[in-house]
Amino acid sequence: MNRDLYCLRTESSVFVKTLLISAITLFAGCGQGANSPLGEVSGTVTFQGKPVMEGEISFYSAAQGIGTKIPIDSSGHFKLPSPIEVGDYKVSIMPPPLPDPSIGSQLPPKRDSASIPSKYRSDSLSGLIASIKQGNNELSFDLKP
Amino acid sequence: MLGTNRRRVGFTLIELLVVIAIIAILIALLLPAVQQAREAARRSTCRNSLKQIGLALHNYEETNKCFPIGMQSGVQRPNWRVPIFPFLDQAPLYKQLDLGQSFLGTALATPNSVLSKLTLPVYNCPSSLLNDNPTDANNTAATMAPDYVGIMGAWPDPAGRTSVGSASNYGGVYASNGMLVGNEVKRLRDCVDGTSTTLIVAEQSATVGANDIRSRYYGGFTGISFSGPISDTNPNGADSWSTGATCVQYTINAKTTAAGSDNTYDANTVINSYHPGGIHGLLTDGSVKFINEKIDFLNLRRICVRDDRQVVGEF
Repeated sequence: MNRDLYCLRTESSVFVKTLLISAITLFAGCGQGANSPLGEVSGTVTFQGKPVMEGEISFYSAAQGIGTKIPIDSSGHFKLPSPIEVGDYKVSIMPPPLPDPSIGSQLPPKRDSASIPSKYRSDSLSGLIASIKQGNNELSFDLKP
Repeated sequence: MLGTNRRRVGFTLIELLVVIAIIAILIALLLPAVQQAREAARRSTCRNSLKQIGLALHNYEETNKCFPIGMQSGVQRPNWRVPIFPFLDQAPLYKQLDLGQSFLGTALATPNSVLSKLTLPVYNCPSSLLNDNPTDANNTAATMAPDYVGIMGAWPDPAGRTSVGSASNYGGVYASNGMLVGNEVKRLRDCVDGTSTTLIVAEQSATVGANDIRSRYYGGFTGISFSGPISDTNPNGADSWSTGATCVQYTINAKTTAAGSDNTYDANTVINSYHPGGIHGLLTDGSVKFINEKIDFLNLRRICVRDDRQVVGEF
């Protein structure tokens, strides 16, 4: 009987093991695929050496179809809240956003900000490229008139 | 030894554990399966809605020899979502509407006030968690925010043309290289790349980050703020905003956007959905395809553009 019990034990533990292994193999394929590497981005924007104190900086990658933007603080610094995929991004620097448009009211005031020359407001004209690499990326952009 | 001859009654602990383990594994397998079945049913309903929209667009084309104008100027005039009502089994609704009156969610007068708080199931993706009739300062009448958006093209143009679009003063880009563009009708012959490889309507039924930025400013049925065909000189930085169609500048299910593409009136609202892994897209031939969110972005732009004359890869 002792021997029987022993046999039963072995059999059940083999059975349990088989179940476990099959369960693991069953669920093994359910994970997410590997994501592309990410880079943290922060930096400063200056105009002729002085910090740009308002506006927002915008990153767009036409190759990947992704973009993000963040306001620039009063000392000219910015830091993206979450890391972005590595790659080359076109950078544009915009004055603070316009108010939402509305029917019947005046046209929104023109975006104006003396420290952001107009060519930097379009990513196709600005000529600024940020090559984001894995890890920390400290960028600095000095705008010229 | 004591008890060696006693007859064993009932289960051993091991047997009991094995049974519990088997039941647990079966439940673990079943529970996600139930969820998958429900999502599969919702996906199929969504697919059917897009197919209906496709048939309606084709019936409209058959009747009028052209597709509806993507977005009409001025803003109070209806976009493409309204003129196809009669072909979506909504002829009584369409007959009630006065196309000369305002469609703005703040200024719906009789008879167009019938659109207030109205939800058309065919414009609603059942997987979407977003409010079907959102109210805000610009949509006090709670007109519907459809989960499907027209495609006015893609930017940057896959063929490198700069003449087919220009920037809005809000930072986004308007383009006229798609099938449902602003202030212009497109015909089947304009679909040079072939109707089976050109998107005309796509799903837009999820949030970008935490924000609902479906194309729905002043409600989902309004038009475009500037007149004349879109080109490199129009709007070209002039006051420009719209509802009803998007120029694809972001990949499917993008979580963030760059400047000028994060409001319900912007030109480059993101196409996205709550279906795992991608969106449904309606092609110009009337077929519906599930497009994976990991599609190569250049390929996505090629299928959004009707006349880039580029070879489209598998999608």
